[in-house]
Amino acid sequence: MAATFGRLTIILTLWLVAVGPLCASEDMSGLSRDAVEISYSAFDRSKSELEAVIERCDKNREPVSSTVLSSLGLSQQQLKTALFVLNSRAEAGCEGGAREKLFFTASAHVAVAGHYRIDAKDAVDYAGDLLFVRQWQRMEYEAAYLRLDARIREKLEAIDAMKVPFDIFRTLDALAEEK
Amino acid sequence: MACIPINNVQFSPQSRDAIDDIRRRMEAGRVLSILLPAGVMATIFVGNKPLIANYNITQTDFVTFTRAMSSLPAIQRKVIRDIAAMQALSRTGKESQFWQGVYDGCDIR
Repeated sequence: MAATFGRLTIILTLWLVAVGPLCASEDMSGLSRDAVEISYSAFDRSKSELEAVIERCDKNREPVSSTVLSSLGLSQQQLKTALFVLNSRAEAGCEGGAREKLFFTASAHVAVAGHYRIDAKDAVDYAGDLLFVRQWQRMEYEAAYLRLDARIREKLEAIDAMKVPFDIFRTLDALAEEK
Repeated sequence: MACIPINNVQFSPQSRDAIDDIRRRMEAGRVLSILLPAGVMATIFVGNKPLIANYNITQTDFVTFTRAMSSLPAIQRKVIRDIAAMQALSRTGKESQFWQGVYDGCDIR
């Protein structure tokens, strides 16, 4: 009796040793699948949000009044620099953090997918390259803008029409026509 | 902006860099190659063939490109427009006109 019980115990132990990890891995694969799905959905949602925000911010762009700008005595290149920088800032304000959120959720999905050694798909592009377009050149524009006289910058930054995304090239055309 | 044909536009090293940037970023999704299968603008922005010395861009080329741009997802379209804006503002003459055409497209919407 004791021998039979002993054998049964050994068989049960062996069965548990063999099947236990299978059950656990099945459980983990379910969890990991959900984890990947959750992080991809968060990324995909943020992507759609940024797409919608970009479309909205791009609508109804108006040129900035040339009268105010021409009175500041800036050279053509200084004007171009100021228009680019202030339009970029206005766009960032209009996007309201949607770009940063997409960068975060895309990076998070890349990290999650990396852990499970699966393809992060298009999240890889949005975790960097597509969101930092010629960042060095943007910074050069920013640096050139900061070299303008502080009082001129104050006047530029006080113009209401430059606090929302505006039409850079129609503004420049209007200034050229005025001259 | 109306489409303005540009004859004999030559690209500086800075513009060539910018074109490479657009090509590389659009390569990933391959969307632009589907939307812009042929034409002068496709030879400039799609694929990896070396750029030639100069290009003649017709009104039709700009119209085709603008239509392709309007079908791109907004984030990718903004990538191209941001690069084009920086180039248009930092280059001069026909090169600047070309980039402004890329940025603004034609008034076909």
